Amino acid sequence: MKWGGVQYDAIVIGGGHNGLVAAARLASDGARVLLAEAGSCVGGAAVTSEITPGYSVSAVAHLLEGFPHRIERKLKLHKHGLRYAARDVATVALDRDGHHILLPRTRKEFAAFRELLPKDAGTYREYVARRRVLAEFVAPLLGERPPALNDPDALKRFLRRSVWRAALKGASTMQNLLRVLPEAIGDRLDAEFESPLLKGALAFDATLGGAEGPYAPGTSFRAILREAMRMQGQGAKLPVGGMGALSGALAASVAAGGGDVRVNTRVVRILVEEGRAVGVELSGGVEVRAARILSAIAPRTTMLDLVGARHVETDDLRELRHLVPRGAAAKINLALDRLPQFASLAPELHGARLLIAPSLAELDEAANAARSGALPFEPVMEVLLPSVTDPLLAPEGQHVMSIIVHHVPHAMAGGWDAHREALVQRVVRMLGSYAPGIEDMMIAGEILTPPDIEKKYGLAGGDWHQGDLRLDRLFAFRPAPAYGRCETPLPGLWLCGAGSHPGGGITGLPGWLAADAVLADGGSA
Amino acid sequence: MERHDAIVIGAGLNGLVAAAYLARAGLSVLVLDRASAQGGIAAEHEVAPGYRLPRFTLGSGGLPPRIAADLDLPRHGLRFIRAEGGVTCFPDGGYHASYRDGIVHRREIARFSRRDADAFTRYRRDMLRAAGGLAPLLAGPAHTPARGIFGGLRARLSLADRIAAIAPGDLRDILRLWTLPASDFLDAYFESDAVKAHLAAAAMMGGTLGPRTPASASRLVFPWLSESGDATGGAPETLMPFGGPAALVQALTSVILASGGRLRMEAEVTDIRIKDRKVQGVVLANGEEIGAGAVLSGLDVKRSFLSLFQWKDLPEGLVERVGRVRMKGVAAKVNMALDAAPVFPGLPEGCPSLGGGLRLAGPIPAMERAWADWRERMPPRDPLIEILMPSFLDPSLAPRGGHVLSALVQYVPEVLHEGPWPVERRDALGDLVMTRLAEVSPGIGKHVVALEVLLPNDVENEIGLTGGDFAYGETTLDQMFANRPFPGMGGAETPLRNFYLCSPSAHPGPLVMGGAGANAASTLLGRLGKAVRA
Repeated sequence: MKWGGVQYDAIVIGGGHNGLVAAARLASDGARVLLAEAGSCVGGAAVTSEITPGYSVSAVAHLLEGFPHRIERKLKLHKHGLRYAARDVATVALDRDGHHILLPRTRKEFAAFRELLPKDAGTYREYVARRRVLAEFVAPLLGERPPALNDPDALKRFLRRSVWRAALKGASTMQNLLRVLPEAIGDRLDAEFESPLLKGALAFDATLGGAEGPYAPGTSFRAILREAMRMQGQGAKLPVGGMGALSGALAASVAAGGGDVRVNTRVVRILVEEGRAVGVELSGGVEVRAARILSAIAPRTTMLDLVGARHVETDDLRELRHLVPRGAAAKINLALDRLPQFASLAPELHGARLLIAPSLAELDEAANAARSGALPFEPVMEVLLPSVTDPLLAPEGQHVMSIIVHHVPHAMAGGWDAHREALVQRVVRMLGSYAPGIEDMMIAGEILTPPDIEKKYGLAGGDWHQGDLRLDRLFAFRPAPAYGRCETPLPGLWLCGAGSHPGGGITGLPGWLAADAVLADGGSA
Repeated sequence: MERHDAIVIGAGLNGLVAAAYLARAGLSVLVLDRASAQGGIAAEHEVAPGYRLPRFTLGSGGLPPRIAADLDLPRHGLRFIRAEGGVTCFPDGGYHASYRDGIVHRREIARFSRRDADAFTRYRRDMLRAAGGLAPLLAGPAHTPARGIFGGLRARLSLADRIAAIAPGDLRDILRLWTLPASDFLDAYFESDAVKAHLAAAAMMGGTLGPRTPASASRLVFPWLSESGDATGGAPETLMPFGGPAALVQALTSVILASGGRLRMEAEVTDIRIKDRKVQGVVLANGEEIGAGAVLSGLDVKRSFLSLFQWKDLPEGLVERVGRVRMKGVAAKVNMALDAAPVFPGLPEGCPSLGGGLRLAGPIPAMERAWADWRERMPPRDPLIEILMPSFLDPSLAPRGGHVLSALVQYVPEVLHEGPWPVERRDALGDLVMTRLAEVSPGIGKHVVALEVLLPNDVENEIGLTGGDFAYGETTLDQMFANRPFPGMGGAETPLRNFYLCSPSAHPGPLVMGGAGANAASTLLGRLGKAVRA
């Protein structure tokens, strides 16, 4: 069936960055693609918004860390306007008294690091090397579709290949990996390091975005996973114009391939005929048909709300019902009338990723508070001043600050309305103890709690990982065993959002791999 | 100089099991312990004149039938009782009990939810399957990774094939068990908070994880490990030695003596003689030296290496690796003497599952709060309490009409945020336990003849167990199997020749009573080329 006189080969539901990547790839392959976005703009969590006129900031996600170069190249994002204001953004663990730790990237930085932390420097070098070996092992697995679980031969080939690959990396790689899988990052760091600040920063990075605290088993592997993601994307970058620029370039890439990107277009139903997905119904009652449907929205919503429970197997239903994403981070964006002064922070580091996570104890307390539906007393957070490297985001001499507050509950005891203000106050007070006087610099600001992110940007549960990064929900098990290869048991329907392998963050990989699956299923015909 | 084939340090349960195996295999064995009576943490103790109970442990749990049979314990007078799985009382006055009989147990669950009664069938099936997969791994010595480049690779490739052969559903179930929080895992089966809390309370006892911490689901399987699965379709039973741990200790002692082994109490080992990384014998506190072909330590891994050796004699890096083993106290013991039988008006008359223990627990969020308090090193506000009253089974443990009550209070930190436990905090903990008890047994306070509160620190000071950690090292997956006590030393064999670890710091840990002792003995006997004599 045609819509506006067009016959589509594929329909992508949801215009988050993964939906855009899938659509752009299919379009570049010659398919006629329709991308339907329910909201008024595309991008999902990768958008730029105005805090107040003249001050723009990446609204939700604020750093491009795991977006593979090959996707960027294949979709010609540079040609479509994607530029970087900063590459290989440094990470600084802030200290109240000015003894900040810059996580070293170069030999020179390492020398400074050793001066500051003579006891931990050697261990840190070993820690990073060990992490790198394991991440190098994991990274390629993130960039390919996992093996089919119901094909023992494929699984055997995959596992044997993995064993060989691990063996090539050194005899102890496999052993180290198996040891790391169930370990808690806090326990590991306590065993190796002395500096509370260094431990806090390393554990912060491993647990950010999830609800688990640093002493939760399995978090050590999260550090590996994050490092592997970083390898995919070759270091943290800041797009010029904020994250919205990435989505803009992706949308342009879709359009260049002849695809249609339609906003304010809500899909209310996926049409199923003779056990096959054949099209979608839009909110106005219009039906649009295509042989291939890709859903970039949450797997649970896709299957239970759009397809309908009657088309889903009982066991799968049970699985899907428990896939309720629950975000654990809030976002606070501030417009400032001048550059905040952090005690003895080198000027070139004002553009770095600034971590406020003084120790494992603070992280642990914040996680415990969030788990019981309370606000962390001393919030832990990641702070960016994107306008330092991208001056057009704010009027001259003025700045925007982008803050991700870690360990903020989705379900706040007593409801969020009564607590939004309290969270902002705690965050500002905390910031003030690092950059005195910041309260007086604030011109405007906005806070996005996990439910706000869900409501405003359509991210289910406000969870940027779209489901826990736990072993039973990774690789072929993500989001559920029958859905592990971006496919669904319903022919003609694929999942291409962060709920699928390899998971959340701005990586584009779920979209890319789903397009792989569609193309493998019979090309763009 | 006196000399033996093997010396066992510590006459705790595992030390005695190891010694019994060795003695029965014909070795000359000497067991040494600094205490005046055998039993280690399970040693019997008078809380008041005539009132006897195990001082530090609760006293439930029995040896696996295999070990009992190997050591011929029934002939030495040991009997096991099969008790019901216990009952949980909630703050709202409700309770939920476990029954071995499937029909009775389903009816009990149906009091809360008919759907959950059906779900239990599914839950039981999955738990038995998981336990069936886990039990063989716990039964023998730890599977340590094969050494050498090619041997290791071949072993791993065959492991890859074995993993690929597991049905995908089962593979997922295994992963779920070792990654999910217990609460999420239970949510997938049950809807009733009481049913979930009952199952979680039993599982969380003795562990360092909270019900909502990732990976705590694995603890749900542990109660099913001893279950044969062919019973009547209900909850798993609890195996207990008749006469309590004292009877078990006595039977083991009698086996050792009957096979020509010897025990010396009040003999503290202060040093282990070592030459060229080969252990030669021990030195006692009084300066006496005893030679031995092998030394087995029933002390925890930290005590074993860090206090029995001169550090300079140990291989490089060993001290650090031992230092990194996590041992955390998580429970306090409260012992009570009562001059009358406590009554529980909220429970059915003569509730049979009381024999398997009484737990006082809130719903899962309250348990999680207790765990969070522990993490933040605060005295627990809502502790999880497990109680046994052994004198109901064996009236000889208390004077006529009186009773002894043994309670473990879960989620009690070793050291408080503010420092060591002050006296008033300790008293407050005792009062809290009494308050909780009085909620289910009004007026029990009037019958208390004696009460003692033993904190993790007391356990460390009196018995020498590091951190007062009854698990001898955290039982999380990174400290289990080949990684127990630490990666690179999986099992009883140590980097030192002729020195073996026979405490639960080694595989299989506290999950199988006597398992570590049996493993150490069979490792040593294997070395000597002797078969275990059944």
